[in-house]
Formats: sequence, C-alpha cells, structure tokens
Amino acid sequence: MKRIVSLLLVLLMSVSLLSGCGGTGTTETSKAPDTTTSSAPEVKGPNENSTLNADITFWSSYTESSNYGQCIAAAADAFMKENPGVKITISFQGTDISSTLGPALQAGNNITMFEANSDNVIRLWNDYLMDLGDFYAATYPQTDGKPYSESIVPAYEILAKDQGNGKYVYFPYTPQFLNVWYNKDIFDACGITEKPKTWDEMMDVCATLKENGYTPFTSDQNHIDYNLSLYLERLLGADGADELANGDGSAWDDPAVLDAVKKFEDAASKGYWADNIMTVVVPEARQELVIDRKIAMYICGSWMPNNVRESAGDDYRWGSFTYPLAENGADDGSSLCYGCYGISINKNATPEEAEACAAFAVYLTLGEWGDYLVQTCNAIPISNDPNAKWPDMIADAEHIYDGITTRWPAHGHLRSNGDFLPTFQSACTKLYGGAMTAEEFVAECRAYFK
Amino acid sequence: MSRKRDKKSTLRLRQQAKLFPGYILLILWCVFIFVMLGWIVIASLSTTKELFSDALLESGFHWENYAYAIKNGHLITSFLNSLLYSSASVFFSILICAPAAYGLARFHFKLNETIRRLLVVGLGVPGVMIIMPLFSIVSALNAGNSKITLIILYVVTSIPFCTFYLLPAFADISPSYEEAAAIDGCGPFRTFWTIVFPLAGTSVTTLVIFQFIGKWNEYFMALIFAGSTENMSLSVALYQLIVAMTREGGWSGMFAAVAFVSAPTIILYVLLSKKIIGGATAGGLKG
Amino acid sequence: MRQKKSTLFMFIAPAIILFLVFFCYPVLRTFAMSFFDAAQMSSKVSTWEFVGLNNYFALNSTSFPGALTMLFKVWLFCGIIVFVAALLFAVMLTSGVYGKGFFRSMLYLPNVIPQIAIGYMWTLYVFSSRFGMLKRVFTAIGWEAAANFAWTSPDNMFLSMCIAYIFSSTGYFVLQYMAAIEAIPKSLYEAAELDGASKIAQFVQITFPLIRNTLVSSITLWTSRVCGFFALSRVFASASTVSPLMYIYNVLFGTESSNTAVGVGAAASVVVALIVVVAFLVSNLIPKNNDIEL
Repeated sequence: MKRIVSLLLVLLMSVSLLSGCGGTGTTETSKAPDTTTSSAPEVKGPNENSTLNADITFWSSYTESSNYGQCIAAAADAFMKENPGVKITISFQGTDISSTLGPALQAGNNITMFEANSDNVIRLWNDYLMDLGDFYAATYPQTDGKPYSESIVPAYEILAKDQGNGKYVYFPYTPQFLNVWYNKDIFDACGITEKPKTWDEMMDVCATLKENGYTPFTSDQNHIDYNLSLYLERLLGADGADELANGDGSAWDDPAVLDAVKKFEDAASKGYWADNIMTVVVPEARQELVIDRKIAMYICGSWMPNNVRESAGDDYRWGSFTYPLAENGADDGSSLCYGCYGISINKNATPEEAEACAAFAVYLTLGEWGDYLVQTCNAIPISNDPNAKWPDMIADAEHIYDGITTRWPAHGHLRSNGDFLPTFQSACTKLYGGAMTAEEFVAECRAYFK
Repeated sequence: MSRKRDKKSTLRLRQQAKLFPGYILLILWCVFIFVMLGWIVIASLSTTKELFSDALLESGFHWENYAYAIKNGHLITSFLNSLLYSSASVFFSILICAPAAYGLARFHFKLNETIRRLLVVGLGVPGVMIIMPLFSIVSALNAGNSKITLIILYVVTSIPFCTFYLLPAFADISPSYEEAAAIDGCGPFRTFWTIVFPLAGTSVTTLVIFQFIGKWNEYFMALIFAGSTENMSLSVALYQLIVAMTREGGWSGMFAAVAFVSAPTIILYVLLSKKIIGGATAGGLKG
Repeated sequence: MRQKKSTLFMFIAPAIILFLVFFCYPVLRTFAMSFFDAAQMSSKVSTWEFVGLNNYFALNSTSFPGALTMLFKVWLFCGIIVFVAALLFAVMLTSGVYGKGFFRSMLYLPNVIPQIAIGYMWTLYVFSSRFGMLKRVFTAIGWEAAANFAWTSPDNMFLSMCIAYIFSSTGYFVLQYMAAIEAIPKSLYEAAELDGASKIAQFVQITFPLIRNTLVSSITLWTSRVCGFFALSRVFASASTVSPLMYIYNVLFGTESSNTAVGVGAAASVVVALIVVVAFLVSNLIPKNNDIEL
C-alpha cells in the first residue's frame, strides 16, 4: 500500500513537472499544407510598413488535421512573418466549437477572433460580436484598392449584413450549400444525360440506376435527414418547414406531409437506398460511396467531396444538381439552403487587436492565400474577382446560385430544432430502410411534440 | 493411501467437470477481448481502403496512422493531463478526506450526526447539480482555462464518497494505538498520519485504486472544464479526434486513436494486475 | 484520549469547508436557478427573471422525459443483467477454477479502458455491418439471421449500447462479490457438503444471505454509476440513447443546431438529483442483515 501511495506521489510530481513545461497544445505549427493541387504562396519577409501590433488568439471550427486547418495555420505563419508585430495563436476546436466557445467567452477567456458556420456565429455568440462596418469600408493589400465590401461576392455581402441585422459582424468565407452529389461515371454508364429537375424525374433516374445494377442513394446518420427535409422545404416552403420543426406539432397532421413521406416510403420499397442504410456508422456510407462506387447519389453540403477526397482518389468525378422540385410545391426553385463560414472579432478586443484580426481575416480569405484556400481545400471562392475559379472537384455545381432569390438556413429549417433532430434522423433512417411506413413516420415525429 | 488420492482426484475431476459451463463462459469472454483488441490493432495498421476491401495489412504496416493520431489528437499531452488529473485529485481527496473520516469516526460532538447525514445526501447528488454555479465562479475568477479547476472539482465531488468509505475503516481501529502514542508525547496529527492512517491501509489502497480509475475514465466534467487543447483529458481528446476523423474518413486512423488511448492503461493494468486486483478486493465494500 | 475542539476542527474542517463551499452552495444555487430564466450560466443573480415552475413545464415537451425513461431502462435491465452475471462469475471464480487470477483480471479489464474508447470499439468494429466481429462470427457458424442483425440501426442502438455498458460494468461488481464471498469461512461450506447440500442449496442458504449487505450496497453504487451515464450516450448517438446528462449538456452548452436554455438545464438537473437522492434514501432503508456476525 505504502509503495502504491509513494508511487502515486512520484507520478504526481513528475507529471506536474512534465505537463507544466510541455503542455502547450495550441498550435503555432509551421507545417505546410499538402501541396498536391497548388503550391502555397511564397512567404515574404517582414513588411517595413506594417504597423500592426497585437497578440491574437483565434479559435477555429476546423480541425488541425483537415486541409482547412493546415491552410489556416500556414497562412497565419506567413502573416506573422510579414507582420512581425503580430502573434497569432490558433486553437482548432472542430465542430465542438458550438459548445466550447460560448462557455469560454463567458468565462472571460481572451479569445480575440473566432470562426464557424455563420448561422452558428449569429445564433450562439451574438453578444460577443464586434461591428465590423469600418473594416468593411477599409481597403487592404488583397483588395486591389477597392473597399473590402466590394471585393467579396455581393450575395455574401448582403447575407452578412442581413444576418447581422444591418451590421456586418463577420468576414464571410468558404460559402456552402446543400445539394445532390453524384458519381458522374455511374450516370454516364447508365446513359443518364439530363440532371433531374423534379422529384418525378429524379425517381426516373433512380429507376434507371436500379435497372443497371446501381443503388441510387446512401447517407450517413448525420446527413440522413437532408433528403426528406429538402423535399419538405420544396413542398411547403420556408414557413411550412419551419413549422414542422419548431411548431406545436400540428403541422405534422397536414395530409400533404403524409403524402410527401409516402413518396419516400414508396422509393424505399423499390430499394432506392443502400441495403445497409439502417446500420451504417458515420462515416461508413460516404466511404462506401467513393470506394465501392456502386452507389450513385449522396445528398449533402458542398464540403463533402473534399472530406472524402483521400478515399475517392483523383479519378472520382463528382457531378451535382440542385435538389429537385416537388410537384405543386410552394417553392419554384428560387430558394437554396446556403451559407458560409464567418470570421468574427470579439467585441472586447482592443482597437489594435481588432485591426490585426481584420487584416488577418482578409489576408486568409482573399488574395493569394484566399486562392490557395480555395484550391487546396476545394472550397468555393468568396472573392468577387471574375477570374476566381471554382476547384475542379466541385466545379459541376458552379451555377447553383443562378436565379436564387431566397436563402434557406445552411442546413435547412428542419435542423433548426436540435432537440428534435435525433428523433427526425432516426425516423428518416427507418423510413429509407423500409422499416417504417409513412404513417408510422408521421406519428413518431408528431409524438415528439405531444 | 493411493486409493485415497485417487478418490480425491476423481472428486476434483468431478468438481471441475461441474465447472465446465463456467469455463466456457470465461474462455468466451477472454477470447472476445483478445479478438477485439487484436483486430483493432491490426486494423489500425492498415489503410482505410484495405479495411473496406477486406485486405487488412496488405500493403504492410502503416505506423503513420499512429503518428497522425498522436500528433493531431494531442494524445501525449492529454495522456499526461489525464495522469495529472487522476493522481492529483486522488492524492488530495485522500489528504482531505482521511482526517475528516477519522474525525467523524473518533470524536463525539454535537454536529457529528448532522455532518454524516449531509454527506449521505451528498453521495446521492449527481455532479451535474454543481456544474453551473461552479462554472460561474470559474468565470468570475477567470480560471476557465486552468488545470486546477478540474482537479478541485474532482476532489470536492469525491469528498462524500471518500469520507464515507474510510469512516468504518477508522472506526474499526482500536483507540489504544492513539492512547499509546499520546503517552509517548506524539501530537494528534503525527499520530494520525504515522500510526492510524497506515492501519487503515487496505481500505485506503482500495479507495485509491477505484478513485484513480474512476477519474481516469471521467468524461462529463472533463469535457466541460478541460475542453481546451492544452488541458484536454484523454477521453476528451479521443472523442474530438474521432469526430474530426469521421469528417475526413480516416477509419484506420480512428482505430489507431482508440488503440493508443487504451494501450497505456491496459499495459499498466496487465503489469500491475495482481496488485490492483488484490488491492481492489482487499478492502471490499462495506455497507 | 482528551478531545480538543481545535484538534477536531483541524481534522474535519478542510473537508467540510470544501464540501460546503464547492458542493452545498452550488447545489442550492442550481436549485434556485431552476425557477429562474437566466441568459447564461455566468449571468449575475440580479439579472435572473423569476418564472416559477415554467422551466419544469418546459421540460415536458423536450426529449428529457424520454431520456429519463431511457435511464430507468438502463438502470433496471442492465442492472439485473450486470448483477446476475457478476454474481455468477464471482461464484464460479470462487469455486476452485484454474486460472482464477487470470480470469478475474480479464473480467475487470474493460473497467480500466476509457468508456469513450470502449464505445468506439463496439460501434466501429464489433457491431459493424461491414466488417464487424459479430457479423463474421455468426456468418462463420451459418446463423444468417444473427449475422444480419442490424446492431447499429436506430431501433437497436439502445440495445447495442446496453451490451457495451454491461460489458464494461460487470467486472467491477465481480470483484466486489468475490471479495465478499471469499470472506465467508470455508468451514460453513464444508459442513454443508457433509450434509449433502447441493451447490445451489449452498448458494441459497449460505452465500446469498452472507453477501446480502454487499448486494444492497452495490445497488446504491449502481444507481450513482448509472446517473453519470454520458460517454456511451455520446458515442452511440441516436434518438434512443440520449441520457439525461446528455440532454443537460446540450441545453447548457448548445449544439450545432440548438440554443442554450440555462434555467431549463437547471430544472433537469434538479429532477435527476431528486430521483437519485430518493433512490439513495430508499436503498438505505433496506434493512441490513446484522444477525450474522462473522
């Protein structure tokens, strides 16, 4: 016993020593991102004219290991070399940032800037956002003499102002949208040349795929709701879809909803979803999609192809079309679930810190590093430059914004009630897997609201 | 003589035969654990493509999965953090609770019964009840990003259990030891730590082991109060890493992370198994 | 021995003061908070807005009642299986099997692996419908129905999680029961053996009554273990595996798609705490078997 206790003591002491000096996990990495698609911008020496002088702590919603994380870290290093007065410490939080940043800000941690999906930025940390109006009006080395506000895609400038209730509270980057991603080789092999525009056309496509021995859809648990929820958005419009998630549940009694779900039940009975749809564990379905190449379509955000790039290999050809219209639907195709990531500055930051943050945000999202981010991370450009090119991987979706006049939330209205989401997702899984009828589905969703 | 031995051995044989179903169950359990851990190690050394095409290890050992997991998951830092959290919190809870348990067991005073009742209720109150106010205290003190917070939290949430667990152990020790020590001119504290405390050795060992393992595996509070990269405990780091990897789809990397996180405790456990189990059972559970 | 007040104070004060400041005060504050609406966990008390029982009513239309039911099911079903299995293993290991020490270590092994890791071992490997151990084993022995069982489908997620939980909990109780059984004098069994009592009769008449106190206190232990149910909930993420703690965490800290509601979180915590405290007091009421002194 004595020995154990003394062992513990020794351990305790050695550990406190060790973690005392070696325990810095925040990253100031200098590792360059993988340079398969394009080479990183040349890192310049110190800029004589740089007057920026601040220590910045930057919380990112990306993970350190992702190509985004590596790109952000490399850009920060380059920025620090050019502006010797600035020190940037990045903490990569991953998607957990939606639960970790709020408490950290409340606890008064000195987090100068942070970024996440702009919907989350507004929803979760609204009390901590600095008004960036002056920074939007300013010019930067990356903006070619124009003010920042005129250097980004107008739709996102409008979105930023709209989300901030008339104020700019974040610098947008990496726009995203939800749509249908498919394997072009499979469509070609089945002789499908037209992208389906309506739900019925999509069902025809599914039938053709099935005849040729392919499975039309698969999905992982965490994306499984997109298919049905996008259909419901098309059918009922924004208000109707919102009522389903955030109402008192009576919206589920609408016979139109049951009819919509019936269509999915019908599709499920024809075997349009992968056999293992009920049992896949994240991210199994995505991996099977690109490794086995027997499944044609996956409904997800524009970030998905980048995430599976390694398993997919260079020869995987991604096709894309916007979610088809519902018959007699409230939406005519002028709406889209889209959004972007936003970089915000803590309103408690000093003017010097804020200036340095803004300079870094623009440095990262526009100019050389902006282009580099787009190409290495297969992201959509935020730059208004007509020469800004979409990465090849997702280029098939390039015209998705054409004719869009209404924005739906980045993940759709059905996701706006996080407490309801698990119920909805598990019901969707059972519906697609043929383990649940449309009536049971509606009853289960209805039961959540009691 | 030999007939007697025969009889004895057939008796043994019959006894062992009766235990046969038991052996099957036990062996199944062991085989299950070996296969599970073994397969995970093998999978962690393959590539994701090999995993999905059923060709484990086809292209040799991919140690880089481990390098990747350890670096991106900050697993070394979080391993040391976990060690610090567990050992420090166990050390301090014993340091604080042992005297208290002794005091409650030995001294008769007015509030004795009240304190005991309070502790019993404290045993039942789940930690989640104290999280919010502590969070606001921590915020007010600006200590949100410190390792000490979690240690304090672990210590205070252990007070009811540790005190209660040690109470009967001290009550069982005859007061004659202290009386003898007092005659020798030994102060009450020295008497306690040098004479009484060692006498409760088995109970303390049991408590240390269970508390250590319990804190090592604690996840809820660690997630809330030690979520930042430099303070993460091993469980928190593992969860974050796996969520990150599910986005990027590195399955073999996920298995590498799981294997790396489990390995140190399993190895330590195998090496010290006799001591740990011996200690864990010696004290037993008292009502 | 003379008992000086100051000495007594020095012995118990650190524990009691820490307990009062960091335990009792927070508990009372959380209790109070459950009747108020506050913007953040760290909001000053002066900014709280009294809402009476509204936070408790609000809980009713969330996933919290389902989470409580889920927890009760874990407590009851997993509890029964864990106790029976642990008792079975303990009796087996104490009746003279070879390799007792080894088997005992193996039974306890899952306890030393972090639960998050245990959870992933099961979801990513054992239950996998693609390369899972169960699928392989059942296919090899030709039991198709079992091989195709959808362990990770939403409806079965709860069952699968329970299996992993039982796997990781049993060993702990095996140790407790073994210690209790080994404390029983061998002479009692030898006497019973001479009387021709069967193993089962021996268990019912000797073992069970003599380890009754341990069994009763293990119920208390089990209750507090189950109430901390969180890690596996997070790993086996599904509608049927949300535990109360999981719900509280989400509502306190927000998620990708839900906002925080501090008062509601406080109310949920109070409900959980009340249930546990009542369970504790009730199990303390179960009479201890003090007739048999060893």
